[in-house]
Amino acid sequence: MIGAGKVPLQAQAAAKAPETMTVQVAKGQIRDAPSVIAPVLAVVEYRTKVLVYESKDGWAKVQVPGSTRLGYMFLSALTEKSISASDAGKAASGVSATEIALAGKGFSDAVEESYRKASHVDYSWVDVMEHYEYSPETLVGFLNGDSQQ
Amino acid sequence: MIRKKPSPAFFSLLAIAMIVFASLSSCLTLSESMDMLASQAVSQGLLDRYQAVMLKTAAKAAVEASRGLTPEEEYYVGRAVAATIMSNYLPYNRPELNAYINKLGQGLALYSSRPAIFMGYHFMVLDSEEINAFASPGGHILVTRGLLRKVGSEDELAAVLAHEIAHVALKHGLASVQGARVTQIAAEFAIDAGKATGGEIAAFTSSFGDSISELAKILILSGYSQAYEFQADLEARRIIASAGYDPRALASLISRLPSHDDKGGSGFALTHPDPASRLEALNRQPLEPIKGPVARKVWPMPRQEKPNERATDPVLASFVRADRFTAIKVYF
Repeated sequence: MIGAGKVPLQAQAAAKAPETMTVQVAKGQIRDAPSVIAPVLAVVEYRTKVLVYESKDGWAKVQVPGSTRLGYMFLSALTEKSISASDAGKAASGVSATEIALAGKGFSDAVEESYRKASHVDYSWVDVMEHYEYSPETLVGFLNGDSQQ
Repeated sequence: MIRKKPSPAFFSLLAIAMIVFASLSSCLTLSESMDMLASQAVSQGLLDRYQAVMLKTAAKAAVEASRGLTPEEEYYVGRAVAATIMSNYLPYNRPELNAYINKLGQGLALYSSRPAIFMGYHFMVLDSEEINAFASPGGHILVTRGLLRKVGSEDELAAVLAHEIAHVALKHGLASVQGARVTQIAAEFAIDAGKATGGEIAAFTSSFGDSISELAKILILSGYSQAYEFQADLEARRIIASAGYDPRALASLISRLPSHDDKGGSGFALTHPDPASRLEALNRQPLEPIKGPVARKVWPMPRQEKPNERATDPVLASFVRADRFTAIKVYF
């Protein structure tokens, strides 16, 4: 399967019409091959629509947006549902500086900010734990018993 | 027979019926239908402009609420739940241990049925003697030192983390909260950020807080349903086997956990089914063939890797795992 992403799009698309799916993770990675350690071709943002040509064993073969190139994403990073922009996307009509700032952050952020103040719940450890972030290459190496990881 | 002249209310009801019928046949959304209805009601003097706005807002909230939570909202709920749990338990600030737990846990998550979630999986150890672990819908997984002390190998630790990953991957968190409560959380998110007033945010925040408290209470006090626990065990066993760990490690760990009969049982003993019933449920289901995004051969078969994914020799790997587990255990 390695290198399949370089096959011309026309040849790939001949078999079956692609399906449109939506990215449901904050940053979805499109890789050159269906492997977590294959090179990353592109990063696609939450709510981006992508064309999916086929899916197998938890991987989706997708077209890199704005390109004719094909790559692979985790199928769990995609949803068949359309994700409504209940926050930032619909907030363009806001007029005041506060509203624009709020729109930029999104309503989810605004609720969290307000909840933090009202409940006095401390989020600092949640922020600390979210900083522990490792590349798939490091993780695969760690699981395989690579003493360097 | 005297025929009365139809009242304006009759016409407005007729209008509602016609618009609802039109929405069914022309695929208008409920929200769009209510917009039309409200505008018509205003033009007929049945509603004032303020009431019309209220009606439109209510319709929009109902539509938004029925959609369930978006992955982003699920993540924010997860953050709040994790923060609440970490207000009840002290986090254990040992960067070496937390780095180790995150490498192991995030690596295992690659083999779960949902390897990619909104912001990924994150792990933290809690400084508590209680034997317990928690998983928020946003992928925040918390494990107590009490539970770590029950673990005798990296394989068993992998089993603990994989069980919690499974709860996230199988979406057990929000499924455990009553449907009405999820609907309520969805409604709370369903207003435009640019148009939200401070008062609206405060009102929604209060209700959001109630929802978070309810979910945190379920995780801390009552736990998931037995069915979800058994599902998480099966998925955990599949995850660790896929990642090259001994699938029998899950059963060996469960057999050492406190049973419901143990005096003073708390945490796991209260929030999980009795170990005997978990073992029985595991034994009833043989391990299925391993498939998935990064599938490997089942342990202890030697793994066949792609050239650039080639693993260290499995025997050598087991020594490395044993060595680093011994080194990290001093922090438990």
